[in-house]
Amino acid sequence: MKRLRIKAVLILACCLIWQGVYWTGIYSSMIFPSLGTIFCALARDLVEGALVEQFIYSMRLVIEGLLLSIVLGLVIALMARSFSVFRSGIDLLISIAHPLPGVALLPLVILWAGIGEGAVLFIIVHSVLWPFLVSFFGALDRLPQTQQEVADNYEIFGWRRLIWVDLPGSFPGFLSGMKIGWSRAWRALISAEMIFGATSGSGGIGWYLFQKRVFMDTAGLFAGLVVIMIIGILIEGIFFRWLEKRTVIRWGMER
Amino acid sequence: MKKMGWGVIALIVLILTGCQGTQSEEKTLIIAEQYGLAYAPLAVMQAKNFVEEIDPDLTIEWAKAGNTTVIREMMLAGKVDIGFMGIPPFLIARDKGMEWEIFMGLSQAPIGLVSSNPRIQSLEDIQATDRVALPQPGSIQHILLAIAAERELGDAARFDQQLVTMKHPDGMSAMLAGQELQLHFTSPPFIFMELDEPNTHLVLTGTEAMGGPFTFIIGAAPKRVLDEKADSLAVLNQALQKAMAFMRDEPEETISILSESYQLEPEVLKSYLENPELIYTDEIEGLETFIDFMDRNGYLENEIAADEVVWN
Amino acid sequence: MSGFRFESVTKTFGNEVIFRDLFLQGDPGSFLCVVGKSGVGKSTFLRLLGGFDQVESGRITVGGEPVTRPQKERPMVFQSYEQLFPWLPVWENTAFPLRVVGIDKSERRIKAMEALHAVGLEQDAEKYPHQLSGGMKQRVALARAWIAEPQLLLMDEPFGGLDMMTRETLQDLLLSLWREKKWTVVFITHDLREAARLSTDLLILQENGNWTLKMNELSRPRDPYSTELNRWIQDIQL
Repeated sequence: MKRLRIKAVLILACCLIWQGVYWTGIYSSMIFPSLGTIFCALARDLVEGALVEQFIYSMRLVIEGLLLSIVLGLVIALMARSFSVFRSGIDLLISIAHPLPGVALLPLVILWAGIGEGAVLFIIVHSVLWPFLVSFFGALDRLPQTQQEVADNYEIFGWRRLIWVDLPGSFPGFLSGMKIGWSRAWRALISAEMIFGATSGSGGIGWYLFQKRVFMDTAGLFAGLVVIMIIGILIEGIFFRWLEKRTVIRWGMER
Repeated sequence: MKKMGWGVIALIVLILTGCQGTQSEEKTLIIAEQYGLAYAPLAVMQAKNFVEEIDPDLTIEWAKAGNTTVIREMMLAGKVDIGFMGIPPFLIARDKGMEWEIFMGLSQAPIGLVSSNPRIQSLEDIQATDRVALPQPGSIQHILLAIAAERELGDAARFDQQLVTMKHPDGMSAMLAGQELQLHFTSPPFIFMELDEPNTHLVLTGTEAMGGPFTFIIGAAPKRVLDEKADSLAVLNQALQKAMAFMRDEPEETISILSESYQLEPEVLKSYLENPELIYTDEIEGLETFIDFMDRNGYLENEIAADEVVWN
Repeated sequence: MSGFRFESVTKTFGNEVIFRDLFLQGDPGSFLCVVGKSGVGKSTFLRLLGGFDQVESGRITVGGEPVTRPQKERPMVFQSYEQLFPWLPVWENTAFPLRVVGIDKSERRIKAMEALHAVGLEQDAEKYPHQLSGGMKQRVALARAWIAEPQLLLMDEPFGGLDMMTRETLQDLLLSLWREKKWTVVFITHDLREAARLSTDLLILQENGNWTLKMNELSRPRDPYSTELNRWIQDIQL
């Protein structure tokens, strides 16, 4: 609770500093709008504009991308553990693909996946999969030998072994891979949305931000950033924390 | 001895900062550099040093900028003195309270909407699932599309959620890849290159959309520059007009200058430059039409009077 | 319940010979302890018997069948606490061998509670391993082996990390279960007194691949501090 209180105080302090800078008028109100203007822009876009839809749309895409990445990650992990050739191949692929920013692959993405939701999902999965695999594989490689021998002893192999034993056993690494993946996915999504626009309906938050920028609605831009910050806090502070409590903390597996 | 050393260093620093001081009194204009046939007079002016000829004290600094949005932001931040852009992006900045004015036109150009799909022959044929690539929302390409949409389909915002933001070269690659993207609102030289391909055709030209000629690119400057560097602006205007005249009078040399910087074959470049719709002039046309349309359809929130935004 | 046989088994590690030409017959229901200095190869012996490792020459059979790989009928109780799965509650850990063969949840639960009752832990069924003491963890491991209905129970210094009192309690528990279920047990320890208390037979692994067998006919119940037991221990050449 104390940490929460400290965070709340810090946020309040930031707001005061922001408003203070605004009042001094050092920067033009075009590039440094007041908290009031930002808040109004936020309220207006939530109520009259499509911000709520855009938020839901973005969240849906991120979740889809994450789930797809996790499933792919599990399948790849299974194949890598069963065939050492595959493992070497995948390690090579990871080292090549991991450093490439998704947005840099844009021309290729457009060629392979078009310009719709498929392309955005492609970029999300690319941004998530490699760091996730690095984290997950790392954890799988560090599984205690005794645990593996117990699994051998009771003759559990293949897919079941991965899901019943290896996955829970490597869950701390899996979870930290997921956290990294989430923030990468979110960032990739926003950048991709800015480029691909409204791939359906009124698009997502990235598109919202982009429109604010080209129409020079700075207050709206900051409003969008506020929404993104709140989402980040909610997901990391609440969702992941909850997940941790129910898994690694309950199992005494925190590192 | 040590104290002497520090004294010397301090002296050197003072002298250097003093030098900085004198330098800033020299005249400079920072211009955002842009690529495209529509900006050709800038390239010619730079190559032939026309500014120096007219006023040797005026230095032009060129700032690299990716797109119109970045240029506007750099102008906002004071990092750039002059930006060349379409009229709609200028109006949007003006609408949001920037005290900018147009100090000259630069070019008119045959821009238009290209399609690689034979199904799409007019705006009516564009379905909700078709995406249109153009530089960005609020660009002249977007606004022209919206003007045509209002006239032909009664709904200016009809295609607003179908836009894909792409720089001209990316849009062209995507179109020519023959996959999902089948509509590209683009300008020279890309529009020429796309139409050279076998299965493409023009759905809409800028002139059709406007119902008449219009200025494609104008030069804008913030109030600060208009007040403090008025004479430099006048020099720039002269130099650019000189470049435009040069392009008319010396086509061979123009082609060799531009062919280098645009990476185009001289023959090809020649055919583009000879296009009658590509006109370099400092006249400004179509301003009222843009203001009127954008105001009517909510792209502008405030009233703007055409004569207020033109300098001199 | 099965017996086991080692026929002319040799195992080396690099240049060192761990044991040479090992001949050993374990009768069903016997309790074999394996002792020797640290690093002499006791664990290797057990791993060979369990199928976790392969012989270079010779043959190992359990119940007449050669050993090629680990099987659930030969459960191993390890010394390491990592042998329990931290994400499963005690009863699920215990019932794991049944889950692998597809026994459904309700039946698993009943059998798990039975096994936990046998080791005296039924009130901790819902706890997670990290909430248990060392001794309790080893009991769970024992309960899991129990549930697997072993032909052969393999134990690799299971009580090594525990204090004296807990060790003796667990030894008593093991002995009572052994008597009741008539298991064949192979038990590694570095504690000679423990070996004296538990074993019917003793395998002493020595240097350079040498080994000795010794019978244990001390009468039960065995007082770990009796002179008889002390004398028996003194005879052992490590």
